[in-house]
Amino acid sequence: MERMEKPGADLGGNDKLAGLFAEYRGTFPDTDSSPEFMPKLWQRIEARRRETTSIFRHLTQAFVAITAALLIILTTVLMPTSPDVDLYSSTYTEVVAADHADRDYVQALPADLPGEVR
Amino acid sequence: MLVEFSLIEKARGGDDGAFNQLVQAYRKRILGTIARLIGRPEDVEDVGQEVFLRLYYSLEQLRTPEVFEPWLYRLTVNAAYDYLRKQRRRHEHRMSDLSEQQVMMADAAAGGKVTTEENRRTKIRELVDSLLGKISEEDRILLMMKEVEGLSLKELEQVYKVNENALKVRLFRARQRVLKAFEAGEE
Repeated sequence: MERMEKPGADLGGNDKLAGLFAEYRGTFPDTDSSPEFMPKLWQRIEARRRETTSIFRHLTQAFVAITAALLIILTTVLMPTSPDVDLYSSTYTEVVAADHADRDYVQALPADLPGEVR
Repeated sequence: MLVEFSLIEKARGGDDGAFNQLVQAYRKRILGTIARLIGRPEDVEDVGQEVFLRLYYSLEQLRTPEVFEPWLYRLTVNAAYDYLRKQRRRHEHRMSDLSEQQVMMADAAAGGKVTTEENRRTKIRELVDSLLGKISEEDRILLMMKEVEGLSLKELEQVYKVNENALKVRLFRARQRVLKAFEAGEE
């Protein structure tokens, strides 16, 4: 752990260092930009804007394509099979009859009871 | 502040003319800071444009115009970090990669044109750069923002979004390390 010395313990060195930093700052000439600075800046701003718009457009296109594909899949897979058309065009008794057409019915006959006189 | 708050508000509201004025007002100061932070004059404009580009796209996130300057310094420091990181990755020291300034110095030295004043400036820069080379890049930039750019602790607190005490400790340690190297060099 580095020992924390009291700030200002060595004022001589600190002052010299502060002076050196001030001189250092003075060694840099004033920096001004070239005449192309602003036009180039706006070119970069526009380029970034176009890039962002393009990314957004691609994302939108992908989203629309995925939604359409999902819609088609859902329509074909999940939609219930179409009901018998006759169900809507026939009467109730016809539908019931058609539903029971394959069944064998036992005809009820009068029973012969012992001691009964015919 | 170099501009009125109303101008910042206008620029924040999407007024490109106001943004232009904002750039004109701060351009020189920001480019000067970048020049000192990155040390390659030929790349200063490029990094400066990156700062103002980031400003343009982040201006609407600015809470209040009062914190505009620390915000701009924060963008500047971050852009300088990004640039220096990229430079470190390249890390090639061919003649073609030397900064314009270094090439000029080399040419001038070859032609014997280096004046005494230029020589003195070069020596100061080399000395400070070597002293600052003793600390991490993050501490170097922090120390430069304080000692060379002259930002107050309050301003640095807003730039770095770190509390003042933590900054004081970091600054003190960095300064002590630089001071030790300086004194060792003097002996």
